[in-house]
Amino acid sequence: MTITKADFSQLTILVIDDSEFVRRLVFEMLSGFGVGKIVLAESADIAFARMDAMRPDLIICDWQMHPVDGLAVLRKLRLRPDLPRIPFIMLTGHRSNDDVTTAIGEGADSYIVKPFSSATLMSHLLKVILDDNSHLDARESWAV
Amino acid sequence: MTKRPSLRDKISGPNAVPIEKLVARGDEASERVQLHFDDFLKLRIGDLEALRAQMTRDPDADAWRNFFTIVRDIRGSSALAGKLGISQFCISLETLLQERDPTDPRMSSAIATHIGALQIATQGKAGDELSQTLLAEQLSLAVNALPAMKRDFRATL
Repeated sequence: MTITKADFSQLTILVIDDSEFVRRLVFEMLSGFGVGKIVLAESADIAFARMDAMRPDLIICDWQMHPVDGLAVLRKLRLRPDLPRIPFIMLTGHRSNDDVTTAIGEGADSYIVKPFSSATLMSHLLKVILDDNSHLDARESWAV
Repeated sequence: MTKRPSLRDKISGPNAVPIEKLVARGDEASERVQLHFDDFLKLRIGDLEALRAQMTRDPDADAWRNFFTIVRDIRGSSALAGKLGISQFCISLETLLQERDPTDPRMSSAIATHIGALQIATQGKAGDELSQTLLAEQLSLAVNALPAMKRDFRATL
């Protein structure tokens, strides 16, 4: 099923990337889409602290971060019993099928290869949102 | 506890806007950020130069890891900004840092050559995409001439 209109103002998205330029670019794109709340984190530690504080609807995370990469963030996130399954989009410069398989196998919901356009980001956002069933997760742990 | 709405419900508000309009707004925002890429790049190259001096003084310092992180940052950012030549220079520099012997006496000049290529690019003197590809190939040849030695700058959580 596809949609032709959207209002992202009720969404909270966490963007994790150790590159200031990339964080800013993704922030501006999401702002352009009208996303209500965009939280930025420059490292895994900061991301988990922010996650505990604001419970994002969706996470966009770079794979090639230092010292803790995006795959490690994803693994830790999926092992957290206190969190519902938060949709996760991996952002990466890796193009190989093996890398896609690895990311999806670890629980990523989508995979964007850099460089990417606003249209690509939008398309992945919509795919993840339309496929999402996290609201049915029994580990319901935050109020709305 | 209130049941959480689905993400689909969350984006289906009464103020929904056509997707193509939202994408156009995203494009405009992206273009505004990309206008500042050259300023960002100059700052990061300055960081690389400062760290290179530190690496020369103390080969075991964290400076190597920090230097690598900045190169990664420039590579990812330049690819997003559509500066593919700069991205290629960074890929060559990453190979140099990760796969070549840091104690080789030619290492310092090889790093300096890569930084020089980045500086030329920021000054708009690196020519068109083909010229930049050729320059990147020359840099890679120089890297390949050095003895191999794997280093891993990554860590896990």
